[in-house]
Amino acid sequence: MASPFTDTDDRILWQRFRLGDEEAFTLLYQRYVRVLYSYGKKLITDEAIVEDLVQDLFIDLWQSRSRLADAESPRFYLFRSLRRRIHRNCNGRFNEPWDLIDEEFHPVSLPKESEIIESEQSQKQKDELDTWLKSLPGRQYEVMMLRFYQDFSYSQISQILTINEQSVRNLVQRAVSKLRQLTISLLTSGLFFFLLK
Amino acid sequence: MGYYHYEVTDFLEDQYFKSWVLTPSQETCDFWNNFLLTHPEKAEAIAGARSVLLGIRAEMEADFPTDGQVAAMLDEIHNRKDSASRGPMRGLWLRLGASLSAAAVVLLVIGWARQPNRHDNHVSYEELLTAVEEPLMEQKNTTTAPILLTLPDTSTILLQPKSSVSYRKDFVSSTLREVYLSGQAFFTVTKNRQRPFVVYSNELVTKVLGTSFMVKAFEDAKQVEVCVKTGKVSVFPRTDTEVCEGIASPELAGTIITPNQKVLFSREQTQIHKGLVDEPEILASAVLPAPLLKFQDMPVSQLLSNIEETYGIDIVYDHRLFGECLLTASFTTESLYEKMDLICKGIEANFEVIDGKMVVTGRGCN
Repeated sequence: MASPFTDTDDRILWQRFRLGDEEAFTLLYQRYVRVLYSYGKKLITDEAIVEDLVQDLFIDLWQSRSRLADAESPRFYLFRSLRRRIHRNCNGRFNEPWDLIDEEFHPVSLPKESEIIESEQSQKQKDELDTWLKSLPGRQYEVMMLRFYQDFSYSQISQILTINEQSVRNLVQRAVSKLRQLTISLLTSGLFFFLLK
Repeated sequence: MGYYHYEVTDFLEDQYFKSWVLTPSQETCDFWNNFLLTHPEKAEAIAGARSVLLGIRAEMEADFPTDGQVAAMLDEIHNRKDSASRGPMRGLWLRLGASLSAAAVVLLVIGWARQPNRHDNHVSYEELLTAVEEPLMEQKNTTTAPILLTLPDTSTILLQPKSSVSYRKDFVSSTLREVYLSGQAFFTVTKNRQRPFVVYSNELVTKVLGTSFMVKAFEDAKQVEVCVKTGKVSVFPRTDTEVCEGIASPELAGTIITPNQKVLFSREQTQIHKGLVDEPEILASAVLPAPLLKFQDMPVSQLLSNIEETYGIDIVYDHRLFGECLLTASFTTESLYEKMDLICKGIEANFEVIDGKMVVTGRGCN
């Protein structure tokens, strides 16, 4: 799926890397730098900071390799470390609105005027679903991404976000129920046939 | 396989379904097309789950670094990984300070250390201005009608009589879009996630990324009022340094207000009270359900949840007592309060607004 590499492959690389194998280290980097970077970009808009955080993550990884334990899932380890770094670096700053969002109630934000005009021209229905995704509160999006794009288990996600597992499930449920509302309203529009093509 | 009873979430959790969506093969296509033919009632759930998977993948891939970036970052990692120096961290911290926030969220924050704590909690407009070192532009409304101002970033301010605003002359280039207000104004802020929009008014600092809201903060008034029209705002007392320090923590700090809600900040007690605006309006949104206008023998729970959704407010009531009550009526131009009055009459209940929520109480109709 999103990760064509199995945890077993990763574990072998991880073990080699812990012993100081630079090639294994570079391979791990090549495997995960894109998704990690993209994940970081969702949390912090400034590309330079995301770059720095990802670089620092790998530099620290290398420097502390001899102290690292064997990892069941190196991918999980990388995501959790990056998430913590982002959190730590933003501490005391107004920099992580994702965490500040009250998930209990979030009025769906209206698309900007330019987006409305665009969507009227072509692909209107497709755009409405895109809007749904963009209008999800950050945490709901984050959880959906980790669960359905990265295939992390609920328990792993709860550790990445340092919230309890039930909250993770609730976030997923909320995002999906919002989607249901939208799809019902689009039911008459023939969108489904378009989507299923 | 028991796919006929699957819902969106079940499909999302199903590896076989995901492999069809994300890496389709002849075999999975055949299976799922056939399934759709025999179970057309599942088309909705399947389309929804499919759009989620494809949408998230597209979103993530849109932010992938370029190959050049990947290579450059790797070079940097190899250059620095064997040296102990952590030079670049400082630059990182500085840049962090300059780039604020990412999500379409609105924050309203009480001033962070702009002025040292004073024994007297009150902070006037003049005091706020003197604390600013950069040259300021000031606009005063000495007329008796509101005037509309447009800021360099295209945000607009509807400035009420006897009110003034100031902003830095280098408004366009500074990292924050800062505005100082005395009196009352309605702000419509152009969205710019990189440059939060900040309104200083008495002891309150309102921070947003893009939204519309009203601030009422007259010098001699006992309270400061903030109402939200669109978007989301969170409010902290200025004196609450704890909130400012812990702002990046996962816990939601301060008071969140959403459309149709307002906060009243008592300047004497430095306390925030949450309530509903005087005339709540139906939220304009393509995604929300339409407000119910006519209904016959409809369960009250259904009606109340429609009101909750269309107005974006919370209604608290005992489902066991009222959930099953049936109502028949029609609404035309009634306000939210009038609607609630009518409903409560019908089910012999009362309602009041507590902490920004409608609370319905009564004996029930069973």
